[in-house]
Amino acid sequence: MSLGTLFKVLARDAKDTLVPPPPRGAIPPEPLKLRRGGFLEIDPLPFRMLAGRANFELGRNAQPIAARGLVDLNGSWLHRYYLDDDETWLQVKTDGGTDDASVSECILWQYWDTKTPANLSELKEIAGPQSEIGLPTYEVGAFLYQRVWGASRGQTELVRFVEQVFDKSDTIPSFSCQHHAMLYRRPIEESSRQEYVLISVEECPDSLAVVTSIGVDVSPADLTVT
Amino acid sequence: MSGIFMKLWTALRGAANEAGEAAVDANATRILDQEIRDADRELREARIALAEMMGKQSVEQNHLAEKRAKLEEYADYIRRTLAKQKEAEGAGRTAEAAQHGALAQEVAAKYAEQEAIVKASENVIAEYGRNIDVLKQKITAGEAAIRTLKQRADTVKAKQHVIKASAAVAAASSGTDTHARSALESLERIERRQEESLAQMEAANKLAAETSGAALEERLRKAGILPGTSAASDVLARFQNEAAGRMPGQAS
Repeated sequence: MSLGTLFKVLARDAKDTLVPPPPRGAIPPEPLKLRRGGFLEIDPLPFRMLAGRANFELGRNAQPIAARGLVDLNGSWLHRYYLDDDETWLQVKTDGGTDDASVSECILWQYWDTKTPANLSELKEIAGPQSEIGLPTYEVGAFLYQRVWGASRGQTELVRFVEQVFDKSDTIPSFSCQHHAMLYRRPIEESSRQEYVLISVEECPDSLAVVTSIGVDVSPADLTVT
Repeated sequence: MSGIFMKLWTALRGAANEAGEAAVDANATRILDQEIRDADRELREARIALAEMMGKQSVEQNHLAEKRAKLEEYADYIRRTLAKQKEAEGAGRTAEAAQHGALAQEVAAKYAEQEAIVKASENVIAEYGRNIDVLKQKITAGEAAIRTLKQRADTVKAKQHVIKASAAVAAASSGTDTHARSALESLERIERRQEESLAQMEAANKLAAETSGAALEERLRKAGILPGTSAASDVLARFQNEAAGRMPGQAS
């Protein structure tokens, strides 16, 4: 190949790769080919191997992504993908950028419990200072979890963040929910994976709920997105 | 007739070709500069493409790390399941041992699949690596070629300046020669004219001396009509006479 031909080929390839992506406003690109309408398959074997040693039990391991949630953490992002069974959701955290190389954490969650307080006093009872939410340890099922956020010896404040939910459009959020949440975790015996508990007071336009989810670490290698 | 038209057509084509070549020759360094700039820009784009490829390789390497970790996790599952199978066999729990054995078999199949995935990922990374090496070599060669081109272009430009400067000096010096020669000729001409004029004047003087009043005067003087060089002695004689009691002007 002559130098001239090489330059032409290289220039053509460079132009192809440098075509800018279509503008999507302030919504960052999604990692690991995940997207609303995509189909997610999760390797079930690691969850089978955890049987009896974790609260988490994987149901359907292959299903479509029904909706997307996005949380801006000032430099980091939480990308949430709610699956078709209304039970399971995947959270991918990216730091710095939002490409695959920026993925720092993947957790597969499933809803454990949802409480819907009828009024403020009920909410205080469920998630207020008298509740166990925010204490250094938290018990779910047969396991005890350690608090991840906050350094207080006693009860710590819940962490507030806002989630934009996309269930009709990929670029325009349908609504936003305000979360006041606390995270707990524990190592799983005979495994390098950890199990988590996320308790969140979710204030959405039409609902107020205290939602408890159980999650387990997943690797991008466990996921196949079509 | 057609032969004439053919010749005319050929002549026209020849003229057009010569005009084109003349235009190219006249702008040769400008064209060379633009070509070098184009090559430079394309090389920059090639570097961008290379960086992109290296980025893709890096992403694939991250994926490979995840895939290897998963493979290692599967290996751990197999070891644990086999250990449980052995333990159950040792305790005489045959059904449980068979269950563990079946699970170990299943995990081993997944392990084999994952091994193939890891191998494929390693091949992709190696392929990226080979392409990156080739691209790097070609870009280095391209950079060297452009460097040489630039140096040669600079040399050509420097030579062109030398040629222009030499031509200017040659033109100036040839002009100086002409002017000097012409001045010398003028000088010689003037000198020649002056000599001629002087000679003419001498001749005219001679002629004038022969024919003019000077010669007449000389003759009158010789005839004693005009006072000559003896006038002084005459005056002196007159005054000597006066002192001797004779009146001036009175003849002795």
